[in-house]
Amino acid sequence: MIALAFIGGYLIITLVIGVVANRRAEGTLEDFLLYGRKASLPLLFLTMVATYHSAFAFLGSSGFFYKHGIGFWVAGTWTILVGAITYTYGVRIWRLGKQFGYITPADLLADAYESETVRLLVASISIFFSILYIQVQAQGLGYIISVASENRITFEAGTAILLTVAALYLLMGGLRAVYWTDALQGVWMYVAVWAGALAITYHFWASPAEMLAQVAAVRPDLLTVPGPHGFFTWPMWLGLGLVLSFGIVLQPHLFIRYYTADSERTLKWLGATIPIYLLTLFIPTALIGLGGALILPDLQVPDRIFPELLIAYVSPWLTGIILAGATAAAMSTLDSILHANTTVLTRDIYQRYVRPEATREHYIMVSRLFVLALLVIGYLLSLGQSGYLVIIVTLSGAGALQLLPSVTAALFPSPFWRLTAAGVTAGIVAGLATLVVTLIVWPHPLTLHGGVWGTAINWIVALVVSRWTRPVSAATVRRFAEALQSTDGQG
Amino acid sequence: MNASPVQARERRRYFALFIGLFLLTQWPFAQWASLVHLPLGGVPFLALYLTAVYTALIGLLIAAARRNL
Repeated sequence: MIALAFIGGYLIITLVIGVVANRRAEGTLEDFLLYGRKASLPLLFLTMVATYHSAFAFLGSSGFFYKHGIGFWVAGTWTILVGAITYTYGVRIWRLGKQFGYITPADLLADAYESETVRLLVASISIFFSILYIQVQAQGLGYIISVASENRITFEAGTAILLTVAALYLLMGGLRAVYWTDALQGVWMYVAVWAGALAITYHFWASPAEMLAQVAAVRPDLLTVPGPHGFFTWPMWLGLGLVLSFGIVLQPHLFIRYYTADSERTLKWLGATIPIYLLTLFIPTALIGLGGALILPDLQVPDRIFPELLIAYVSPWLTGIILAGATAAAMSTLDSILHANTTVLTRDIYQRYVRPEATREHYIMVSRLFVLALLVIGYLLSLGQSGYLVIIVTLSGAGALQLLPSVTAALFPSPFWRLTAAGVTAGIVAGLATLVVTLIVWPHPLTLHGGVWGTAINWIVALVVSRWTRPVSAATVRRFAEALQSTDGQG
Repeated sequence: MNASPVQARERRRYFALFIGLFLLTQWPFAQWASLVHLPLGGVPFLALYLTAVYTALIGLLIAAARRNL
């Protein structure tokens, strides 16, 4: 129950932050949805890492190390890619957003390809695939609460409480509240996962090296690639690297963050430094997963290894702090997804097609109603439980990855991949159809991740159809080329 | 305004170096590293190898940001 008290205290702090953010709000739609495009490097850094790392980082990754071994250190590959993508794609997204006032990913792509069909398609993908992520976070929260309360609070009740708190501070303070709570959550979760891993490791062994030596002696299969179950083949290695880098960054809750930076330099430094946090968070989860395979070798649900070890072997006080950190990891992603979906629904659907001329107060009120609606959807989704958080994360990543061709061609104009609205639309539809086949009907053909198959088909169809369909006007091409030039002359 | 030829050349050099280093994190190298057994204080060589390459890549990104490339 001490663990539960810590989680309760943490929730109260987040609500207080929501109230303070509400008082500091400027009352404009841009402030509510984009933090007024004034996010500084420290704030943007913490909100990006807290949003990227979710329940998956705490629970799913240690579960993966537990089951598939050291090969999961490939996780570093995609964290480095997230930095590089931020440095290259992020800076260009920021330039266009500042120049043309974009708020959502669909704003950018609809303008680049002069197409409302592209807007609706991108908005639909943004919502559908990122909403799957709500299920991941809700499941994580359900696990944490049921473990922390020693099953006195049901999975459903715990999820409902935490979803409600996230929605409350989002309703009060908009993206400002999300960013401020993310800053707290980003620090808390990092400290918590390291503290938990070291506490467990030193409980059983003299050092992490001694633990790894014992893994080498007892379970050497966990220290080789492709791992005990042959999971980490080279196509899977490549696929996970792409799906969990581009596939996550192209989801609206991270994409929108690029618009909110206060300068281009901020984004470049963000790209250079963000992998440090993202990468080093997987070191303690490796200790938990690999050590856990020796301590509790017969766990039915690998994702539960961290909370199970905490409850069984770590003091209740430290367990409370760490589980509150795990709650922070899930909530910081959950609030961002709720916010991003609200933004897409308000901007791309309601403002565009329902009430184009309403006041900013009206749009803020409508966006708050969308938060409430999404809260209900999130709760209903959370009732469908799954044992493997990583699988759901890669599914949502594979969907968002279908925006890669259109985004790349818009941000890096080249005669080699000049796409048209029809080409982008056909490519995305073909990519999604391929996903259905390569994720559900025939999962990961030739062990290459379905997301990579979908993206490859998407690129090919987009390029072929674009050759024979009406190109984007010369005026738009020129406008984008000029806007993509750096504001500081760095091109 | 476009980047100067010197800046563009430097950026291309960083990009090529990044790609080259990044390839070293891919599967064939990782599998080779996972099969190397060296007495390095119990820490698997694969973990040390990948960490070294990741550190180099982050260093490269930081150098690029410092030069505002």
